[in-house]
Amino acid sequence: MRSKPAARALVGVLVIACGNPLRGDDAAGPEVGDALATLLEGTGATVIVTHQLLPELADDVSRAHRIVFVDAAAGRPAGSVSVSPLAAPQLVSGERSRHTPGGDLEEGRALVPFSHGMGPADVLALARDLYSATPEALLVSVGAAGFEPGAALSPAVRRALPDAVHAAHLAILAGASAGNGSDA
Amino acid sequence: MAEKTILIEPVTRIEGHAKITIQLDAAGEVADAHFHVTQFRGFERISQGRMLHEMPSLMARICGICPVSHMVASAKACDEVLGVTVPETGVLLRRVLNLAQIVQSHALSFFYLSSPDLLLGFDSDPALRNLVTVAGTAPELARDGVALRRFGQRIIERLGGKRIHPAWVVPGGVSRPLEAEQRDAILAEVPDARERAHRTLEWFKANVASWADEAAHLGDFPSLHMGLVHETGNAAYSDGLLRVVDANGWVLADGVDPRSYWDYLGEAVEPWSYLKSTYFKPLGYPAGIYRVGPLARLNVVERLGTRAADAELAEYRERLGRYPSSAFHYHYARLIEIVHCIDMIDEILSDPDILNPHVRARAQVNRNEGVGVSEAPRGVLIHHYRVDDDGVVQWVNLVIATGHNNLAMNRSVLQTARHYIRGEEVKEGMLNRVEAVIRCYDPCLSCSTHAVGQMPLSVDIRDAQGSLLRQVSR
Repeated sequence: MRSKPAARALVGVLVIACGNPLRGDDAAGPEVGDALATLLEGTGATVIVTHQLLPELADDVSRAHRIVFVDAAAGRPAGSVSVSPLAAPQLVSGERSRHTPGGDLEEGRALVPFSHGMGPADVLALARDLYSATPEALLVSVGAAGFEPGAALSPAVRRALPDAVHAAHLAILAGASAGNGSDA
Repeated sequence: MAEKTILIEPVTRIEGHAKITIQLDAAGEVADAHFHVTQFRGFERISQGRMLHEMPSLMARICGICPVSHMVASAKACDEVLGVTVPETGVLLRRVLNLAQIVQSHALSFFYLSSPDLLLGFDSDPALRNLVTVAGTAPELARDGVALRRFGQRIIERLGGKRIHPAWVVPGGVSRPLEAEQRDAILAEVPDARERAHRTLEWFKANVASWADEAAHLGDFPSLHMGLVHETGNAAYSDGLLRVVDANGWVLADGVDPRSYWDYLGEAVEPWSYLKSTYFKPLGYPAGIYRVGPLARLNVVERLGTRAADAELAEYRERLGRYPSSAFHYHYARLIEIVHCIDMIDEILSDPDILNPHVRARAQVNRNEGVGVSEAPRGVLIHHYRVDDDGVVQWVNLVIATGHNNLAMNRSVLQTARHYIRGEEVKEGMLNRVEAVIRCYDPCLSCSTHAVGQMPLSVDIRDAQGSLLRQVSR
């Protein structure tokens, strides 16, 4: 996990870019994260580039007022970029954070929340339940062609990286008004 | 009724990929059970032909949970090949890194993987047995878990440059000295970590009576125990010599130089698992069953070596006896070790000499063989290398903590299944207890089989002819 804190205007903005750089298009998250870390140098925003989402990130999330997750997405056209708002799972009739296997990944929810397999919504749920933190959150998704171990980025995703960085940057600056769920 | 087999696949909330089979006889009683490790990694072979100086960083890639443990054991094996004496500050810095590794790994095991069972109940809805529900039910417990894991990870990041796969430990020592600013930042976080560790221990002790049935039937049997012990009798996590005691405390081997491990430990291979079964040679296979890790470490040492942890150890022994034999007590032992490791980190970093810039010795290959041993979170970890005169690795043997525990895990699965499973109607909570006994050992299957791993467990029920009658999977 690498983090690059920077300076002022965007203090309280946190980017969490997720993915494995050694598994094909899963590298989209780290690629976009690294570009944002450079772009945001000196702005006060924090960029965390990580292989996977872990419970400890809830602590970071609790200290921010705006979170932008960046991740590759299966089941979407390769190279498509979309920005959508995210929220922690709602309580279901008195149960706490119940997760249904097969939950909607588009909502950022893991199939089964686990230390190795959390989704963005799980991290938000932990931040809410542990630290009473409910920051604004958005998910920038980059449609992936494949996740084969040892593979490089697909041409489509490589071409889409500038759009993904741009979409993430808009989300960072504008928050929810950038998160209309539409493709970039 | 016909004989049948229950299959639990995948085993959940463990580090790696495995399944459990439970064989029922015609009367519906459990006849046999096995824990199968179904992933394969093969680092012993992959590393052949690599250069010696690459080994610590290469070996760290075995595991994303305990890369530090592999780095330390690997570097020690490399030290021996180089024939160097690591500067004392280098030794201490490696030690701090390894202790931090144990804290973060134990926190993951206890809070993330096992606390859902303990807090919500072994029979609770499996869809809710996860850390997110723990956070909603007992936020303070979950906060403590997150904070303790983070405490250990931050130390690793501060010392090694990153939390996972740091490349700071090298043959001959560490690659750069500690800065005062890093030390002060770590020490500033010690009081908070200490408070959280003690609070969790108190929570566990206050609730332990409610898990009496699990404590009695989750892997409670006599076995040998093995761990590294300092010459003072204190626990030794990065150095020390091997000690083996039996269930009554008789010392069967002591002061064993880890280089002679092969005189004491044999490795058996079973067709149903990629995980080797290690046994204590003098007693043969499979009678030489032994355990390593937190439970075993607390059994083999006379004391831990820090005041608060030793007070907790005394109470632990008062409650459970001098040589507790239930795998369930791994949890309790793990929490005491967290307390000890935090205090050890504090003690080592409070020595001004920790900032000494002499942290690495350099040399060429002076021997063609080296053995490195350390205590990983899950137990004794052995790296054994043979190299040619140019330092090209020719042969590697890795004896991993989870392998040491393989026989014990299998016996534990059998015992737990026999107690909780009767007949064809198998409730999920029964199966969860069979999984839970595996979680007690906190096996790390990526470490021990050298797969593109997932975390899935499944239980099969087969008839006498081996036909699958029922399969419970998640």
